[in-house]
Amino acid sequence: MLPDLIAFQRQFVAAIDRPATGPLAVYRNTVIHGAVEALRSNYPVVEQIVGEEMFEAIAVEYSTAHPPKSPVLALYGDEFADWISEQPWIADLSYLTDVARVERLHVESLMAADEEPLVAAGNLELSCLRLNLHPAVRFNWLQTPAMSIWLAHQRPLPSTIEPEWKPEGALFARPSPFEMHTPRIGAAAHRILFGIRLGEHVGQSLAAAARLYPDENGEAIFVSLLNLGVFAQPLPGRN
Amino acid sequence: MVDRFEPALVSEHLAWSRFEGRSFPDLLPLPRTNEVLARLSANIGQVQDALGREILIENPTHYLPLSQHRWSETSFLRELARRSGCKLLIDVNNVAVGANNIGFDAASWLLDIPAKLVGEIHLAGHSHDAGGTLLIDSHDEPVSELVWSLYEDFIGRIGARPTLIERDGNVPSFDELLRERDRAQAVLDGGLRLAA
Repeated sequence: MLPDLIAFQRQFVAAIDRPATGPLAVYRNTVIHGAVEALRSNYPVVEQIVGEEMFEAIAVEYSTAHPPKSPVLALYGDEFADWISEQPWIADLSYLTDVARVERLHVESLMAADEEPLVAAGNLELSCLRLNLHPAVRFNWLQTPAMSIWLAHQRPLPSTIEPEWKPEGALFARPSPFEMHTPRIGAAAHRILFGIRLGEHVGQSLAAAARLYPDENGEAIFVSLLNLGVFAQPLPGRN
Repeated sequence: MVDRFEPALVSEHLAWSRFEGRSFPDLLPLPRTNEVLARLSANIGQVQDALGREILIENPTHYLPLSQHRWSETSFLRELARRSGCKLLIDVNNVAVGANNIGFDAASWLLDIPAKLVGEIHLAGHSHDAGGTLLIDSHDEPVSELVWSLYEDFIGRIGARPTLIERDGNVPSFDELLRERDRAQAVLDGGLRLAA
């Protein structure tokens, strides 16, 4: 190994991790700026909600607490929502954590692998199959209407946002490279997706959803999920 | 990516950006020692073997004088090219910025780079830091007159080379960018006449 070089690098990192002046500040500022701008790109709705100045301040704090591990900054900020939830100021903005979770789902879906999804085939019997989710599918169940808030912050911006204040689900699906679906989903759809992700047969997931949410039409929900391209093509041998 | 796009040139900076599980979105400086030279030559050799082609190594910007250097920058770059078979990408703005920041003569620095090692040139604008003494390689201003003049002399000596103007902040109208491009092209045309 290279003890002198490693000692030099360790000393350099320690120097730019501290507030610095002069030349060291140039490196320190560039490193922080890179992380802050990456976070800004990945959490644009959080920035719209808290404003540019506050976002900048919290991004600097986050990047100090969780500096980038990977050079792929397009995926930087995976711990941002959890970190936000622990900040003292979050009490006034409890939905912000969930909005950040939604933004993370969006970024992960955008950056996931491209793949042809499973498409509905007339006589394909799916109920006894185990399906894999498409690689670009992300979903979550949130205690606040964060998906409605996220949707309301996409262009064109409305003048007022009045979401119904109740839990809801968020789904991101990207069945082809430039086709993104971003629906709100209900509890039954969430239960079906959750079960299939856990490895339940389609039929088991639908039955569980029917027991929990008897008023919902599970079959119709399943077909609409299928049409959004949320399932991967079955691999031979998985069942 | 190289297989897919078959770029004419492939380059990387002489810098480091990862250490002990962290990644720094910056080009951090290396001490120019024998052990670093040996390690870099081996790493460049590995990259060139994996890609099956020669790469170019770009001179970084300097902000901080390092007491650990044992080689001058130009002799280090020449030796790196000799050992690894790589060529050099000379960023003339980085030379001008570094010359201001740590105190060396930019024109002499460029004279120390043999023409046959230069595969590409970068030009860019720079700005002043808040304190006003350091220049920052910020790519957010037009190419400075000093850099144009260094570039003209450099091309005049070594002949035309593929040249990239870097501008990724405070981007002006396309017309303004095209005027800088035309100015670089005029310098290169002079360099081509020189070679003919």
